[in-house]
Amino acid sequence: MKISRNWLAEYVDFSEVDTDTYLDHINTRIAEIEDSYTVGAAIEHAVIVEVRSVLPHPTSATLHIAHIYDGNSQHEVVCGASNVRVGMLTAYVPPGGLVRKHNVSAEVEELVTVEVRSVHGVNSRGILCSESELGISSDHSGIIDITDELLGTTPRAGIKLSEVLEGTDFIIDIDNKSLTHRPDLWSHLGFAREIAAIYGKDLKQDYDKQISIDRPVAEEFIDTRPGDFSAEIICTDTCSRFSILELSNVSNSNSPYWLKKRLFITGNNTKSLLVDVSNYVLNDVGQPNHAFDKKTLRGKTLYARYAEIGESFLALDEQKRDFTQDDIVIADEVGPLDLAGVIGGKDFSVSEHTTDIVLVCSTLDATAVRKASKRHQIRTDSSSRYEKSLSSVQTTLAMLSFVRLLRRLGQTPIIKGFSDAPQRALPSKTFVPYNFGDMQNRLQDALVDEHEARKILERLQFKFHGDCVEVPYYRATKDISISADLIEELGRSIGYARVPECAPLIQSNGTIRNNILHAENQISTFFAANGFNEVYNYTFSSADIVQRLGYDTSDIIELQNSVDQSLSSLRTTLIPGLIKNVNDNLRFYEKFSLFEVGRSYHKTASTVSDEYPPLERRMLAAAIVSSTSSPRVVHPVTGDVSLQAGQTAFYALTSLIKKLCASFHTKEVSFIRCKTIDDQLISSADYAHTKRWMHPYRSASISIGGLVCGHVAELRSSLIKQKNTKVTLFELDISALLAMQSDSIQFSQLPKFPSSFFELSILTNKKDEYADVCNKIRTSLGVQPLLSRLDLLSVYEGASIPADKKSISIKFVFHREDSTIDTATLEGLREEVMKAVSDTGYSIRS
Amino acid sequence: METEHAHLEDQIQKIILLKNAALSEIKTAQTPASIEEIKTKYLGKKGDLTAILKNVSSYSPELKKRIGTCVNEAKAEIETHLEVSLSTLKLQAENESLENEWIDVTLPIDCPLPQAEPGTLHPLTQVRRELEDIFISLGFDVVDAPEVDSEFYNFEALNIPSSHPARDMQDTIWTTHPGYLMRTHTSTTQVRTLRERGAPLRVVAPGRCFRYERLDATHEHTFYQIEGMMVDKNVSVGHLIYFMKTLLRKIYGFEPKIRLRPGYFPFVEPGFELDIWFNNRWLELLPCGLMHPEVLRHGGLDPQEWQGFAFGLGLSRLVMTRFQVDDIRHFQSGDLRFLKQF
Repeated sequence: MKISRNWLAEYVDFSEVDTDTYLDHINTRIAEIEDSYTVGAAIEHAVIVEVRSVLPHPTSATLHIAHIYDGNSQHEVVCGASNVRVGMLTAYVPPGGLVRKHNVSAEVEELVTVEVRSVHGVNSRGILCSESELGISSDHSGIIDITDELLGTTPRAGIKLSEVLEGTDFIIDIDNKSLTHRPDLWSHLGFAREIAAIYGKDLKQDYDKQISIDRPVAEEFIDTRPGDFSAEIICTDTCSRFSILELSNVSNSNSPYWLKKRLFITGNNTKSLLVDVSNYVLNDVGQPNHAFDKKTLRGKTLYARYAEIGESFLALDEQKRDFTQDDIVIADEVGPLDLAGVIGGKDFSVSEHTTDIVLVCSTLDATAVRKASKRHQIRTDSSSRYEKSLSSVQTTLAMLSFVRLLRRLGQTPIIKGFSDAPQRALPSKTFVPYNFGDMQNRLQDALVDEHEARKILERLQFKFHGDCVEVPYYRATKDISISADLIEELGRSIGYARVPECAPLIQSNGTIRNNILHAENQISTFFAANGFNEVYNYTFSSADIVQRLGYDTSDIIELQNSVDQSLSSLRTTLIPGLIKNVNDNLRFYEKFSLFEVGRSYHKTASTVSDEYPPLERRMLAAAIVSSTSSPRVVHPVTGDVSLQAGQTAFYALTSLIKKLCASFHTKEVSFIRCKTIDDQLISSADYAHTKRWMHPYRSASISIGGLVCGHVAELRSSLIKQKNTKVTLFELDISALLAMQSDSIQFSQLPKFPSSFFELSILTNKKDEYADVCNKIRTSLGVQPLLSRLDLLSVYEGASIPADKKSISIKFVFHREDSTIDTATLEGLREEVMKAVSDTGYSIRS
Repeated sequence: METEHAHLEDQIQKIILLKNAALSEIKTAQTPASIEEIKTKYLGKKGDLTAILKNVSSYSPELKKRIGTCVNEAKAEIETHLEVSLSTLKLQAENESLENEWIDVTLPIDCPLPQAEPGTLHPLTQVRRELEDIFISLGFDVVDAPEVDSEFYNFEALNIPSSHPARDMQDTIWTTHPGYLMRTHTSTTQVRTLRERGAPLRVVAPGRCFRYERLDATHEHTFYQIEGMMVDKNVSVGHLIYFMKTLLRKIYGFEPKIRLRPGYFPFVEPGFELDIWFNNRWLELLPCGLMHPEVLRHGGLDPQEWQGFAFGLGLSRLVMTRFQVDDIRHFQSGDLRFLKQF
């Protein structure tokens, strides 16, 4: 929304306010300014001149040499315009003056300095200007042809153009979003009211005296009877007022320069006089209005009604519009004339022959217009104003502005008829409770006294009625309806800078810690401290990607409108995101670790109805990436078997997970080999089975206190974009981890006597698992109260061992609370264990 | 006509038989190579199904067309089965070759992590924690809410009815879960927390938000905010200014110059834009305001008795200014060249 200061000055005299103050006041008291700039410099530099002679250019067929007279002397200029002719009056900018660049939009006042210049060998002393170069319109088809009619006064060679046409103006461009709640501010009148209130001035125009909620019809029309047409509302639920004014003796010629310029600098197109007047009125008072050529209308009644199926018309934008039953149309007795609030019909618009018009102003439901505008995919200056909820009081305000402007342009319109539906419409007044004490509290006693508050509200045209104030009609549609709205009126009027900073007196019972957020913070600190870099991935994924990695997609929630195909659904696991991060980063790094703490979303059987939200899970996932070409690692336990990089990474992660759990004091953590099912899709929460992305022989589920709540696995090399690279990942449900925290920590007495132990090397099959071997031995051993723990010493394969076997060395540790275990007892225990081992079918390696 | 019809029946029968034969062969195939053989046998240039098409060259165009359609449908079905079977067999073959990489997943051994360099927290995590700590020190609780939330908490509860133009201002990403959407702001926590905890309360709620927006250097569909609110008896604009200035003092370490301008958000009244004077100009920092009585009512409170203020701090933008990050897309890129700098 562009606001011209000169236009405002027609309403309020505030010339003493400097630009910075003006901008600051608009910004801090009314609405957000996006941009501000001066326009019209070229007009200040131009002089009206008479063309005395036009000669052909010696070397160019399209150029002319014109001799022009500026009141004092003659100058020779080269002119490319085809409309240059002897005797015409036009605008001339001498060398040193400024003109606008003609090929830029009205927003940018880009100026160039005129210089004496040789044009194809002929020196041109200055230039003759087009309307575009002067900043009057976008017309650059020829030089300006100044006539009495278009200037509004008699032009004379030698006078400065700015003496007869307004020159510089100051434009502020308001952020439309900050006007969403203020339908009144979509007009110069609206801003003028605000300016008048800020500076304590009176409005120079009598619009607010002419039109009020008590008098919704301007005096000029109040006694006028309907002419050839009457207004009737059929769609009473979405049209609250429908007013028509018939005018004759009008002419649709060209608009004078000042009018064109006003429209141009405020971002409007100019067409013909009547259309320009209608647009000017829209920008002047904010009420959409439409002038139909009366001769094109049929019957005796104009209706505001819903369209019928099958009805259509050719709109002003040359497009055929098919109506739906939800569209409101203005129609005559034959058919629709106007898609109400949005766009008019071409066949009924004014033409150069128009002498009689029917001016239509209506008040329409904001939602209905917004939907129609969306349905027909067209937004107009009219529809965007209706969307803000206009008051039904102001239909005749636009009519008054329209008639007055025609008169100002020298026309003498005759009012032939006025019809208003519903007749004598009186919308109800809006009252808001006024409680000075309460408002003063909210504003931290910033107001001087109640007198100041009353003065501010009165200036803003609120009326006091006992404990209530009556809201001015133009702000009562939805902007102001409760007393909190008055606090804003007072606060912005005095300027919030006057509200003092104040520490509140508060009662505090101590803050409450959010367990899950706290745990997430602890976890991320833990991983960062262990060399992991934290990544954030999107909450979005796609069923396709997830499925390719072996996940069942039945719990996936799709998006209705996704930004990208690859982000078309909610993620059910963090793994795909990390795999992508790994492959992306492998272009630059060969060794790194990543982790993410994030949420996944799932459809569950109980969440199909909208009463239940989707299941949200708080997840942790991490990946470690290492190069297999890096030096082989010596097994930290066995020493004699060097592990491959993939193996160390796997154990590095499992031991890290154990440490993480230990830091949360969880119950015992164990790793259980994932079961392999023939290439089936596995649910994201099923950690017991191998998913397609996993190495089938290097994958395990994570069990905490018997609850399986995550998995750890090596990534299949076919999914890694770099050779000689091992990637190991894990994912863990954080809520499950927290649920498995031990209830309390119980101290136990420190041992008084030392432990005793012996070591055994047990020969097992190659694929027997350590945990399983230990369990079997314990089971076979039965209850042995002295056995305190089993420690892994080493695993050995190779020489001196059968090829299909491996040797696991285990330390059996015993402890007794009341004495040291003597040698004989230990020897007995050794016999017992050896028997248990051989009972399990394993043999002891001696 | 009669004969044509008989021919058609005949050919269709033939096609079905061939298709069934192919499918059963696929089922019993053991190697990727045998899948290739089946493909050549039935679908190849000299394949059995292709042969049928050659045989019908003498038939009427109508008949040819119908048989052609039948053949193509059969081919497509076989093709799908071939693909599925091939990928299964390839996976099986790969699995077999991986068997010698078997490891004992239960071994309780401690291996070093492959990289010894220090890790990093995401810059958004770092700044979020810093802000959380400041608010905790001021007596605020940290709370959170789902990223996928109901229309009610995202709109209705915040005084944004379905007909409200503010819904146009926020381009929302909708899920197919009825009534649920990607929250467009952390303000979803306002009524949620009021309903859970009642008043008085002081909370901040950090989190991810989403808008339907095309990606570029300054626009992300996924971004981060910290919502804050205080509800108590007799809360004023002066209190809001106090907390905002205290926050800024702690972040910047100097006395901040701020200003409030009117700003329109349906869930606050009055609503403000808070600007900070920085590098000789006003920078728009955060929207805030006194909580709208309707929001308090949705939270189960009587607005005559309780008032509150609320603010929404754009975390992504704060982090961008703090570290001079020029492109918002870095945050979700997972790019270590970016992450390792923090």
